[in-house]
Amino acid sequence: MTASRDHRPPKQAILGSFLLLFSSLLWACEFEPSITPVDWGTAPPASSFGVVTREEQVQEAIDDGEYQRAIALAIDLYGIDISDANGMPTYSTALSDTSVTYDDGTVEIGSDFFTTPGLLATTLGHEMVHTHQLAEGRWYLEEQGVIMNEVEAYDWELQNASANGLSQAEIDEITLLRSLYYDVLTAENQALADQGIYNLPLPAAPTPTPRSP
Amino acid sequence: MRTVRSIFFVWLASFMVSCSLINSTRQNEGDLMLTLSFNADDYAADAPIQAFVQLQNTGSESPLINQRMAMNSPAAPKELREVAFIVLGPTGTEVPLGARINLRPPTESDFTVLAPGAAVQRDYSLREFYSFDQPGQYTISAVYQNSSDPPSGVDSWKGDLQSNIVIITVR
Repeated sequence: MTASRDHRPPKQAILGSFLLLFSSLLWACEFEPSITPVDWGTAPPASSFGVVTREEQVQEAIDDGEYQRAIALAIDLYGIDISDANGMPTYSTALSDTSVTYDDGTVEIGSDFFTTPGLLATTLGHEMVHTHQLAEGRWYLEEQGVIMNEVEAYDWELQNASANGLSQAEIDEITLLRSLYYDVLTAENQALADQGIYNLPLPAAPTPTPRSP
Repeated sequence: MRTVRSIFFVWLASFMVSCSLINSTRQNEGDLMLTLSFNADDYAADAPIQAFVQLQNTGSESPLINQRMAMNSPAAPKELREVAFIVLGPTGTEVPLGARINLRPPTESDFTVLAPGAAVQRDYSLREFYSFDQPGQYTISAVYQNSSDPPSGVDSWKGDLQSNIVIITVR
């Protein structure tokens, strides 16, 4: 009686062959953990994560022609202090190319300042500087004082340009406007402005009576 | 006697301011003419005071002019002061502009060729910008000036113009 021999390959050999085959396939396919390459050098747009930026919110209101809503959003989202203004700044159809602060503390913004959210925010900030001047008894009535008031407002715009996300073209325009006013200050007042001193010993408009809440 | 003297001093003050304005600006320079008019001569307290400033080409050339005619303080730099009003109150003293005006530089569309005989006009609600609280006569004039070219660099008309003087009464 002849003992029968088992000609089947051992289990270890089968497993080893599979492992060898699988490794070869991986090597051939140059398989990497991520098949779709992702360039993390540039951040994905915020909206792709469901976040709407302040610029997008204000721009949407501007695009919809809802300028008053754009003002309210810009004040809220850009953190503009309107505590010295006489009520909420308003959009004025009569002032296309102008933004104005009146000597009762009310503020109106013309349509030309709704070009970008940053421009709207910086314009609101500019006018708020004038409301602070009024509240602090620094709304000057004489020429050098009027000019100094404007230099202070443009300096605020330039100091906050980055925070308000202004473009280089917008910064250049504000720099130009500021220089036009600065150049007509006397040398003495230019030296004060250079130091960030905007107070002058000049007559000023009376501070308006605080409005009722 | 005191009344006569007061009237004389008011007249003298108005005359001197007018003379200084006329010295510093030129009326009807070249072939452009600036005309100031109002929607009324006599105003009730708190009634809107509407001023109209018209720039007319009375010559035969067609200059490129800045038609924006944006209002600003007389103290503003000339590049940002296209129209400024000089308002003298009932006592003859100048009434200050009661606003801070933030103006952007003029753009290409702010300039236009003004054909012979043509005119551009802009209106201004003066009560929003000046205090007319004191009853009496107000002596008002306007100055138009341009010192800017459009961004394209084309030559525009530059200079300043003095309007006529208008007296209005506020009750």
